[in-house]
Amino acid sequence: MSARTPLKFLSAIGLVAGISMLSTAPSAYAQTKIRYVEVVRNLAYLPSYVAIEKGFFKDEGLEISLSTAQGGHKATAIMLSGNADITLVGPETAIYVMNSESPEKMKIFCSLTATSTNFFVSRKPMKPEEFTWPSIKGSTVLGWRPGSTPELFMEYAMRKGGVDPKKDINNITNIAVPARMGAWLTGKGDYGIFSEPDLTRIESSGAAYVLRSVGAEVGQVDYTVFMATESYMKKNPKIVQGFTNAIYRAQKYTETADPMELGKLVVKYFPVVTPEQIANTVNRYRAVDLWRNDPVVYERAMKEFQEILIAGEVLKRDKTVKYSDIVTTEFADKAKATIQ
Amino acid sequence: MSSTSTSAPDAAPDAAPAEASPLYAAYLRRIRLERHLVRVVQIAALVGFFVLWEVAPRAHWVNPLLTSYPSAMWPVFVDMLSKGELLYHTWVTVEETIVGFVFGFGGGIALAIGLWWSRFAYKVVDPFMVVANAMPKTALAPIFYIWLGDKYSIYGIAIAVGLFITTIMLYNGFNEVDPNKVKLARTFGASRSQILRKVVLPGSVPTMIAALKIMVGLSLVGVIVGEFQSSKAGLGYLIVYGSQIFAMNLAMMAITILAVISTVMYVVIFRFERRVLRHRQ
Amino acid sequence: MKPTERRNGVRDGAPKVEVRDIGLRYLAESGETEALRRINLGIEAGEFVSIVGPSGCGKSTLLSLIAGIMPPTEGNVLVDGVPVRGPNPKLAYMLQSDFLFEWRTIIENVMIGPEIQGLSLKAARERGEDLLSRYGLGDFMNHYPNQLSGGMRQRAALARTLVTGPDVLLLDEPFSALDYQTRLTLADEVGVILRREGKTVILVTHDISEAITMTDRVVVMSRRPGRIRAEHQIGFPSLGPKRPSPFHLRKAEEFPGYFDEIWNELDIHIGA
Repeated sequence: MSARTPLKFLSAIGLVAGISMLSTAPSAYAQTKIRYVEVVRNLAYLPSYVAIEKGFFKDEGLEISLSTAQGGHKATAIMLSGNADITLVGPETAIYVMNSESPEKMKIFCSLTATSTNFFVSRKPMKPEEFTWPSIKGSTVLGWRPGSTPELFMEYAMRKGGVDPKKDINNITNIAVPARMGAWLTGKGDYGIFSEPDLTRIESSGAAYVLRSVGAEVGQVDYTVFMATESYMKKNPKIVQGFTNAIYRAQKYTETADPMELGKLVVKYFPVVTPEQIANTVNRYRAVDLWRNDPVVYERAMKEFQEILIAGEVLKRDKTVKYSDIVTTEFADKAKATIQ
Repeated sequence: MSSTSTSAPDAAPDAAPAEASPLYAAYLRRIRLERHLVRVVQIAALVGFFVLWEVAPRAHWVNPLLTSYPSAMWPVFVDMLSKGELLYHTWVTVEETIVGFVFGFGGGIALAIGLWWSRFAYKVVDPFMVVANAMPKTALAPIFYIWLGDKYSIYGIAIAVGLFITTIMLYNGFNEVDPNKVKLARTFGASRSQILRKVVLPGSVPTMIAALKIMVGLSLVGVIVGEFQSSKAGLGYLIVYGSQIFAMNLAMMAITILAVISTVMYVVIFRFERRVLRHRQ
Repeated sequence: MKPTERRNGVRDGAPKVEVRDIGLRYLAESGETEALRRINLGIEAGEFVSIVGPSGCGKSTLLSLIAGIMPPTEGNVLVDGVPVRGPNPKLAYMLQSDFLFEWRTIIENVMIGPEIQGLSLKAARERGEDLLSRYGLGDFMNHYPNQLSGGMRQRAALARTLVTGPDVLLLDEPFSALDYQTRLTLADEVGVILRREGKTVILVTHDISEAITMTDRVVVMSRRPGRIRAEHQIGFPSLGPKRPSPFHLRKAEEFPGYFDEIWNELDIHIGA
């Protein structure tokens, strides 16, 4: 091998790396590029994918660059470090940031999901009608990460049903989210909570039986919302408005569209399921009013949300925040006024 | 003419002269001064780092939510220390690391001996070992979890992460032992087992120590990755839990303790190395 | 007086070491190489024989065959009439360099042979300490090799070689790793020690002067494939019945004659 061969090899690698970096650079077209980060990939966020696929964002002059953070704190870090413009995440993020020393605060401007997107399942065959919450006392439940909203909403639902999640059950909360489905399939837990599309996958293989929607048990408390940093909203009100408009249109479309149509429209975002399975999920969600059809996030919902955090001991009562500190309704109100 | 005893032995290599000249004294002073200067700058850098860590977030040069700062971490540290929680979590991580590197290193020695013993086995196993070594074991963390469950997956990753590189290093080390020493042993009629025990193993101690250093670092990485995945305790758990509930002071404190532990482990090995290799130069 | 030449040095009585029709071929994927061809040699008990030859002629390889650490392709080596099938405790091998184990003290290094051969360690240790003292290393027994000079280390290696009490010594260019002065001194000492102990010695060297001054018989090998080209009985009648040390033999009147003859036989071409 001559002395020049390693050099050629290295330059080839450098060239490939450089080209791959260039290919992700923003294009210089008329549309404004928005870096949008979702907390996880979840079928419950269907309206957001509809907004992309039906060109609602495009109509507002926005080009969406979608990324998935895999966790609320990760999404927050990405936003606060200036690496994304708008995020879809749980409202607790705005509360934590409000209470923190961060000079930059986050504000909620648009709604998406009306309540928890998780479903409570059992390993053994059981009909939902036959299920009562107290029957789970003494069993093992595959919960979510401690302090996370899936976990907190589940605990809230259990308390409502007369079960103390700290004393009456063996709650497994130490498994990393990507490993949860694997853990369930290898026999961990008599009961558990899952979101879509994992839910359909374990249900269709007979590994789980859906008993309850956690969201339906808890009631309408906004679970996932759109937010941005205060300074971004101050500097780019037109963009935030355009974004809200697109989401509102998607909310209305999703409310009435044919499930199969929706399935075919968003299946590319979920390679592990079929359009038929998505259609089933759409029906399941509609049955529990999972999607907001109104972009405004109301004070009552945020009040109850904070109660859930307090019950889960991740928020102290003297640290609750004011509704106006974490929510702005101007963009949602305007969207409702201008779009039919 | 031959004599009954041999001539006086050659003087042992260069002894220092009997009295120190003024030049020598000045030289010693210069060396000591330089050594002190190095220490001072090192300490200053460390202090400077902590000062920067304290000042930058509080002056909002960086977002304090993302970095936390020493005076926010200190109360958590004191609180957890007094409750014994800190020692508990630290011990969990340290214990997992020790298990990881003891079994990883032990396994590596056993495998390396097996490969050294049978040239045929080496030829068969070699390509698989190269592939296994190249694969990032941390990426397999979820699979380890499914196979081994909560606690054992952490041990599993800690072991797997260094096992193959250790085996390869040790095997190469065995082969690099001076073949003349092996030939010497053979001229006395040494069996393969005697060659292993008396020449190859003692002769590859420097390689073993190099492998030990690598193995300790890798095990710690493996342990933390495993704890991120599925733990209820340990420093990795604190880091994950802290980040999730936005208690960055907890997460950062755990990270700082982790840095201290890695340093301590390395220092232990360096001391051990110095003692063992004293006579080999 | 002209030295006598002889072929096939087998004489009265069975030789201590006999090399019979030895041949060695190296087999590799790229081809086979004949290293040694039809070597026949007999060495009497107490004889001090040297083997010289051009580089690559196989003299060290021959030594390895005699030591039993390599099997010949053809022929046999016999020691005391018994064919060699592997290393034999009656033989000891001294390599080019001391190769002392840096992780063992000097006395521990000397003990390696007895350890491997399963000899009585107490007796061996006494012998070892005695040998080291006699070679001037009495104060260094618990030192490590890296604390000793090259000459001291090679003396320690000599002790290691002799401590198992072998009858036959195989020396493979044992002084080549040393500087010139140490080499001459050590060769002198070793020669005297071995003659006094009455050992049978086979010395392989590329140094003709060393061969002539240290040994009774010089065997000259040809280049590869190694064959025996000539043998020379070495004698210094001019110096009387008591044989002086090797260093002084260099000045004997017979020396240049031997040197020239062997030099020519080595077929080394210098200049035109």
